Amino acid sequence: MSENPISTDRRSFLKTGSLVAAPLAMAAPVAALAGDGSRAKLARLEDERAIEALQRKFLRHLNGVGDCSAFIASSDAVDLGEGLRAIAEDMGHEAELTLADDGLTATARCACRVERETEFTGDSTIEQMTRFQGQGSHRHEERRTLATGFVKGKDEWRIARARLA
Amino acid sequence: MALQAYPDVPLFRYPWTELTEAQIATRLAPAAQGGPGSKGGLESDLAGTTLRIVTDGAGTLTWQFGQGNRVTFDGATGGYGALTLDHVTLITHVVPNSTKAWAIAWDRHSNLATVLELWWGGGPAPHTREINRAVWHGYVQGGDGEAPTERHAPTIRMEGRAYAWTEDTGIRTVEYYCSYTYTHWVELDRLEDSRGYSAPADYIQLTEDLYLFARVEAEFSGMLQLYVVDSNRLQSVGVRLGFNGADELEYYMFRGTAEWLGQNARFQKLGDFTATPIPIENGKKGERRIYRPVATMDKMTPAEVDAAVAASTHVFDRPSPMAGNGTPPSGGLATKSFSIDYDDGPRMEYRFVSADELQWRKDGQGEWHQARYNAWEVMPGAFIFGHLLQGQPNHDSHIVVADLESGMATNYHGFLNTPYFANEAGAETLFGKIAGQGIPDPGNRRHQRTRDLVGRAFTWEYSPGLNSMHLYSTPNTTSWIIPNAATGHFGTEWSGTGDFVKIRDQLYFARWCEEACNGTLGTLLLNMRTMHDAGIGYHCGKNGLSMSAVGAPARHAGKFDVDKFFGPDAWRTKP
Repeated sequence: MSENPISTDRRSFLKTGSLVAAPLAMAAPVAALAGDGSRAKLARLEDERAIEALQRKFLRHLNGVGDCSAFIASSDAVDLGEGLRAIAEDMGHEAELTLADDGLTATARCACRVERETEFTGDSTIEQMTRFQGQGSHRHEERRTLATGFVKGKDEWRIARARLA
Repeated sequence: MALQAYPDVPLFRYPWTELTEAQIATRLAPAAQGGPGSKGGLESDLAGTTLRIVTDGAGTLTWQFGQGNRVTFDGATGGYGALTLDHVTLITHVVPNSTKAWAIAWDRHSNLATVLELWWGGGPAPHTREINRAVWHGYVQGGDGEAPTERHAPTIRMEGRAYAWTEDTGIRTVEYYCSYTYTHWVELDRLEDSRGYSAPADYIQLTEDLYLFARVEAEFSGMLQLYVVDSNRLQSVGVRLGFNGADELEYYMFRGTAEWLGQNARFQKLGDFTATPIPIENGKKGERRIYRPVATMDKMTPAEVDAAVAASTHVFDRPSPMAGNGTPPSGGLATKSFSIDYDDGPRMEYRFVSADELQWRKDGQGEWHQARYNAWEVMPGAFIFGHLLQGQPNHDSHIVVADLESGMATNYHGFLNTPYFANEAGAETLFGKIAGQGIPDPGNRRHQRTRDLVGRAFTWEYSPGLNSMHLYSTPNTTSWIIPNAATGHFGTEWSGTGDFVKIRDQLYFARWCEEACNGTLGTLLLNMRTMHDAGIGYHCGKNGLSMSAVGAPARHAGKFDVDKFFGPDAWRTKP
């Protein structure tokens, strides 16, 4: 088991990471953008913020109720492997977001700490003996990269694909 | 089978008599009166002593010692025996008209004592012939002084040690203390096939250099072997109590001398000396975790095996928890063709169609058979690969190490339908040579059995949370010990037939058969230069037949110098 509890009180990966399409640190105030007539830039910024919120919500759900059906694009969109018990962005690494030119899809990559629990239910001798010793499951931490794909629907962004690399 | 005190078949094959409590009581009666035997003299200086031991869990226990070897306990008088090692006296007696006995280790310097309450029948052991024990720590009450707060305690300090013991009876035993709850011992005289066996054990630290050790030969005779160890002087005093294979009572005390064989690495976190056994919820008195694999293994008939194999056969087609940290299979054999001529075995022809499909033909006859295989190149040019021989009546497997640079091959040929349990894998070791384009002809050279691994121990980290240690304890025994993944405490242990072949320098092909224990044939090709292996498991149970990957990084835990205890034919195994 991890000795460092994984915090779910996390900052946005956009706020901490580099933004490939438009780094947040360089973003101008929305009012200023609106003032110069750059509606596309404004829309882009709004998309980025929506994706940022969605990613936060996604991780929150993974660490909580687990049911992400309300904001995924398809039933097979999310496959993060067996036994996921917790996931948290690794703040030591920069995250990145790439928004497609057409503004309809986006991808994000961020380093994560993943905690998994493996249940030893098999019939191998080592699993049997491990169970016999009272250790029927094991928690361990992995350092992985969460690769997320987003798709813009009629009204909102959804997660089209999430995998751990 | 005629009863044998020390069977000439492996202990896991011997039909141990289910003795009744009445039979045991009858056999104990003379010993209760006469006390234990001994080759050397027993001590009698306790005459006139009343030993009142206050225990933490069994109340205050009182022994009154009379003249000669008489002792009165709980109103019954019988015979006792005592031997002292430095300042610790070991006392034992059987309670008259009962199936109970006691063993006491009394430290005359500190007046601390550890008492083992011993009994047959009534559980928790499922076999009446298997002795039960409860361990009570306390102190000898005397004078008006304050009661000591210290106690003897279970210890991790003996883990990893090994000794070669010689009793004053002449009996020699190699004992590996691989775990803090189990032991592995090799009888060098009473058993003749050079096998090691595993059993639950207690390890109690009495002082910095004195320990109390107790092994119960659970699942076999059920006998107790208990001794006090002086780890500096390499001496012991002990008692053996229980019923041998001929159902005869063995009850004698002994003095022993040891040869220190070494100390393997321990893997607890530095500074962690805890040794508290894993608790059992609502456990009965004396209950502990005793691995009883034959009770839980699938036991199938040949017809059931045929049906299970027909219903479900998996060959390298699903993830293996035994290879989570394994290396990926190699495609290095793809498109190659060669044959292997085994001495006293078949001639196998191979066409490796792809990285995981091959065609085989046996003895140059009949059709070519398609089979799924996996291969790993563990050292350049040295491959391990395995496949099933589908259609063979015993559902055979070939697990082969082929050294394409030397032209030699070794096959752990696995098969089912052994005479014991049809789903239990048997194995034979075949040596041969490879013939194929660009492969040198080794002539009469073959891979050879090796003693290089005997006495060595390696840890294996198969997958997160799934680890073990192998101890190659004799030329024909592989023992495996399971740690607590979180703490590094090694606990449960078992063992089976092993075989060890040298492929190249620092490259070894090993196997273990889990006889009367899950029935798996496990194999591995160990590269000691990379400290990694690749191997293959072959298993049949109610869930069907499988061949699956085995692979893990290794740590070398140490090597005991034990080769000298085993004769040149010690690798030979008996059925």
